[in-house]
Amino acid sequence: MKKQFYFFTKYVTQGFTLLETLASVTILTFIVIGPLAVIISSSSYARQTKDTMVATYLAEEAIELLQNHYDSLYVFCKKQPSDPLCTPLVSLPNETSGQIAWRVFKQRMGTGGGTSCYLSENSDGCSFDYLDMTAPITYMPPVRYAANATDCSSLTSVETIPSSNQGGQLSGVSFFTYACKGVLSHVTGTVTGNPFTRSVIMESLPTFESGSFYDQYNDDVRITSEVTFKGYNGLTQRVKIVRFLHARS
Amino acid sequence: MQKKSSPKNTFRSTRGFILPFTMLISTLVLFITAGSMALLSKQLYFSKIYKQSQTAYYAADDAVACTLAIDDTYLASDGLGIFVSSTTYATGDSGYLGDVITYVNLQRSIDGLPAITLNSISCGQSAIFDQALTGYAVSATDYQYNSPTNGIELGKTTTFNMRMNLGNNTYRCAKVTVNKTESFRQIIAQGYSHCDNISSAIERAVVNTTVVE
Repeated sequence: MKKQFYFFTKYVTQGFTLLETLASVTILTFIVIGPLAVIISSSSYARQTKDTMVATYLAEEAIELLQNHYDSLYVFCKKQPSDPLCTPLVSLPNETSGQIAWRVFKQRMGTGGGTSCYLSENSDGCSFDYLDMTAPITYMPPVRYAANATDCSSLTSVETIPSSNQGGQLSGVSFFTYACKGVLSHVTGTVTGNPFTRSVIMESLPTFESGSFYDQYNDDVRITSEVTFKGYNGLTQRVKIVRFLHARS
Repeated sequence: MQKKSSPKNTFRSTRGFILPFTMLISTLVLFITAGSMALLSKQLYFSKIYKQSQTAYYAADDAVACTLAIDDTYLASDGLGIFVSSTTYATGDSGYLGDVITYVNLQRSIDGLPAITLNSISCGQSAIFDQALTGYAVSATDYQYNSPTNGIELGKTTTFNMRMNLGNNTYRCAKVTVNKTESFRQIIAQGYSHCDNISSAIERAVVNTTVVE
């Protein structure tokens, strides 16, 4: 009996290890492939999250730069009402400094100051960078580019600011910012990193006033700032932020 | 005896070794995976909440900016803004708001501008004083502000809802509360991540306080 049992046990386990190994390898493969795929895609998403955060900040930056420009005009006209920039309209001698700043701001962002950011005048919207929009308020209307023009069709990370920028006012300053890739005076050396495109569209939302939107004081300006970049899967990713600007009294 | 039993024991101990071992490893890996998935799903949830939270903040911030702009633009003859602050005034067209519009139109006529109506005042294409659209209301009870210099000041609380038009049939919504006395103004804007079914929306609030000293 003992011999038989020994023989039987030996017989059924013959070749069992190979089958077992195959089954094990299959199970382990399935078990490992799942988490591995999750880890790989999560790592890719993490890289994309970084770009999404940069895109969000760039979209917010465009709106903040416009708000900053209007606020700077407002403060300037409050402090220096006799400056030619802050002269009231002949047709409206009681124009307040807030109204003057609002009118000048809208004119500067329209065709009066270069490439218009208004949807009604430029359906593609405009593009600009930090360096253009932080020039002194009396310097000139801030430079803008058509959003699809090669000058500023993409923003890229730069460190050193060329001395020719803004008449050399920022020369010698070294800090990281995103600048228009096609504007030589804003970009030096080799640029790296994922480029971002930014288009800014402004719309005047009239209330009870009619006529040219440049001369309206009670309208709101709706700003749509859209930043796009290439995602890890090659598809275009988009971040869009909409905010409102109002005239101060 | 030991030599005889040894091969038998060795044979028995290796029988079915790999499969149980694999099951053990698989269970461990499955537990680790389940943990990772729980972590990832939580991360996804938080990133969704963060996005909605930003939208709600923008709604609240825009509502505060709108309220400030309107209260500073449309002034009564005493220089106070259009939102009610005095307890002695009635609200509505025949009350305080009517007085403000009359004074605003007087100023506009001096500048040669046409008259406006209360419902034509809007911000973000939201007609603030249109009760049917925004639920504009002034509290029946007085608002109390404890001024450090003047003691208790009585005023009014105004509430309304804003539905700001972002274009392309998208909207941003906020509920605004204005607590106001003669020397104090507090604007509380509660922004929501979406306009429909607000009870399930993420809410962020922005408070702006102005004190005249």
